[in-house]
Amino acid sequence: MTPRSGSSSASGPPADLAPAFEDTLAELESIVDRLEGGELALEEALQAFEQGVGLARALAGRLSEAEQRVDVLLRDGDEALLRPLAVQDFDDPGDDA
Amino acid sequence: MTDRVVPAPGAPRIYRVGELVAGLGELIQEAVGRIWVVGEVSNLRRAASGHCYFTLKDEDAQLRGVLFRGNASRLPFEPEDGLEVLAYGEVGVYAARGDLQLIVRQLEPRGQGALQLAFEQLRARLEREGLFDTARKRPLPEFPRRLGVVTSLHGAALRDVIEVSRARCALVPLRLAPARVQGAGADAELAAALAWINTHGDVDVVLLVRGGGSLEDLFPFNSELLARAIVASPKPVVSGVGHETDVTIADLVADLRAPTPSAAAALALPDAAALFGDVERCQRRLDAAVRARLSHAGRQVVGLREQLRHLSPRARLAERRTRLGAVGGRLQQAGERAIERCRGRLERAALRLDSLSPLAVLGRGYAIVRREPDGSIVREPDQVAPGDALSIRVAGGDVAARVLEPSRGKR
Repeated sequence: MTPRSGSSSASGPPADLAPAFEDTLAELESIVDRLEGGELALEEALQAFEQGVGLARALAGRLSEAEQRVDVLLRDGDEALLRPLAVQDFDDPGDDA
Repeated sequence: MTDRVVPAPGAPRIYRVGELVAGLGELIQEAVGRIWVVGEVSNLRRAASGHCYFTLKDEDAQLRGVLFRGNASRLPFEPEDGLEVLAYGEVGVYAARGDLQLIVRQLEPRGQGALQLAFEQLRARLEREGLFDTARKRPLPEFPRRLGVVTSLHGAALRDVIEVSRARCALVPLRLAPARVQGAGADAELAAALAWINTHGDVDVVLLVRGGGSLEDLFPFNSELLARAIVASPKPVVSGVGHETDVTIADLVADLRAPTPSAAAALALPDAAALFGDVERCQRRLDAAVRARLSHAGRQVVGLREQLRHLSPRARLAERRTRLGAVGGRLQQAGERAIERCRGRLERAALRLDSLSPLAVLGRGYAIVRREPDGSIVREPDQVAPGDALSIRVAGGDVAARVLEPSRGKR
């Protein structure tokens, strides 16, 4: 069950970056393993290298550019609502610690 | 003896038992009122009705006590045998038995607070149930797709979690399920939020966090209701409640206990810096591997070239060329000799030819006579007639002449 999104678009699609990141990292590692195995023909090796460099660059870029996404899951009867975390949530004088 | 049963006027009054006991009860109640009593609980029995019966005792005496259902259910802790308590209530007489009894309105453990005791009792009970067993605890995913956070929207805990998450691994999104974290009913809200984010939050781990506070403030996190919700949570739960020194029941049943909300976030998230390191390491390995591969290919080329050189026809060619050169030289010499030979023959032939030349005959005084104008050589006298023009070639040149008289000679 995917919660339906709130009115704001800021909550965005539930694009799960993390698993993609993990998968890409695993893919990169397997490319490196294969390249280190030395079994590849030169042409394949160069292709693998190029692909690996591309993946590594993409991964590093994603790590440095990632912005924390925070949303709030609410409940309306039996329905789940999502809305982005608003700054004023913090400014609100706390009702507790 | 019967005269003693019905006393004469002025004689002492005779009570019926019920009358007497009821009177005593009233008397005691009036005289004593509501009081605090200290003693140790023993022979505790909880009736099906919900009332609690027990004996309060010390070294010198004992007193029956009863805690009626309403009061019993409001106790945060469970009275149990051996417990030193401070009981507040009124002393009366239980007429049916004639027993003195304390009707307890309020009960507090001695030496420690009721909350503390409740905590310890719940802790002991859940521990016996095996809910704290490490074998029951689930490992956290190495790389959560999304992190659930159950806490108050307005607390410092949330701020800490967001701050740490941003610094440690902004790649993993957070999803909050808000709930009050203190006050009556907070435990139920927390439990409900935990269940809700499990079913509707699409998260891989849930942080259950709250900032520091007094034991009373943290009480919802010591609730059995919340403890059971944590145990029932399909996703692993990381607790981070209060400060490092606070250990709550929630901490004990959680799959992982973090000392603080910040620590909970740090424990649940992969470290972006480490991931960065992984990526960089991969990059270096790629570089090294491709360099090795290339130099291997280079060595292969060198080896093949060497092999090729061994197999090359060049050496044979050179040898043939040498032989060819030698043959050529000989050929040339032979040629030259042949030419020389020819030249000699030619010269000799020319000499011979020279000796045969008519011009040489002319030199010896002979002449060649030609009739003009046709230039035909005159060999017989009848070839000419008188008056014909003749051209006579002698060694020195030509003489023009005319025929006088041809005459046949006698040879």
